Amino acid sequence: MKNENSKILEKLGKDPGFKVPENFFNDFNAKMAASLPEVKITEEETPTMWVRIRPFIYMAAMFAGVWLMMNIFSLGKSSATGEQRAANISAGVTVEKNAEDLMDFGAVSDYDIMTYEDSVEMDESATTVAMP
Amino acid sequence: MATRVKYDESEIIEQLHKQDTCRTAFGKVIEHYSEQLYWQIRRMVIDHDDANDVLQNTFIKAWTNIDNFRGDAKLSTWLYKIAINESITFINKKKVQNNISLDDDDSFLVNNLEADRYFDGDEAQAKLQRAIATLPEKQRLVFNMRYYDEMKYEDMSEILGTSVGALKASFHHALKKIETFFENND
Repeated sequence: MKNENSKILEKLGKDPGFKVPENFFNDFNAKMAASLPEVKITEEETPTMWVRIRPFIYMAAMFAGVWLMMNIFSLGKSSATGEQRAANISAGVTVEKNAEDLMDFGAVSDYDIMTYEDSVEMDESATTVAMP
Repeated sequence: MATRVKYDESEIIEQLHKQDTCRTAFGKVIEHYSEQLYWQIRRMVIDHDDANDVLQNTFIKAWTNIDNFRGDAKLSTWLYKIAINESITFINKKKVQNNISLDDDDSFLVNNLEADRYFDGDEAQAKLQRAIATLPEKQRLVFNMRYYDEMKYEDMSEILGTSVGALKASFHHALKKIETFFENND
């Protein structure tokens, strides 16, 4: 601060030479405070607990609603495909089970196969002879 | 010696916004700021009685608009702004009353300085006041705040709504003009 002032000002100092009447500020403060007109202050109401948490409750309810709706829709969809899938699985299992049963417990032997082949050959030859 | 009331600004601001405590709180504000605002106003309007009137107007204006003060800025900044506006309004009214153009400087304020019963400065101090009165309004404000109050440029910037750089330039120009005034009036 000192450096930015001129030499003239440094010589003069900071007293402007003004003065005030004796006890001026104390008198002024008292008179001023006493002469203030009536004013109406708009007090900010302290928000209740419900008012403060209300936005969060509403938001939570909204998300819950969205979640519920999504679940209802996806549940209907997945139950339809589930039934279908269950039927397919069940059918698949039956075919496989029958095939296995046939393989494991079936009464088809090599002899039966040979007999079957012979009968087929005989049928074919009979058909051939019969043809002109 | 007058006893100072404990002053906690955040507590005062809170009390100012309640109907039952606002008057007492504003009394504390008056007590805390009256002297610093008075000197700021006095250096602008020069005459004690005028400074007294402008200070009263400042507090009345602050009080009647207290509901609009939400505590976003410092209370001191808000009060200084009101005081400066009131001072400028007062000077302009006085210019009109004395048939002086609003564009002219405020030299007319110091014409009877030596005759003022509330001025006890010597010739050099009176000369400095005359030099300051020749400055444009903004430079006068900046010079008074910086030279007499030693206010920080950042605080001045908030009050006057001017950049720190511009305020420094204003102060520098004011100093040069005062030096020139002293050189020309030796």
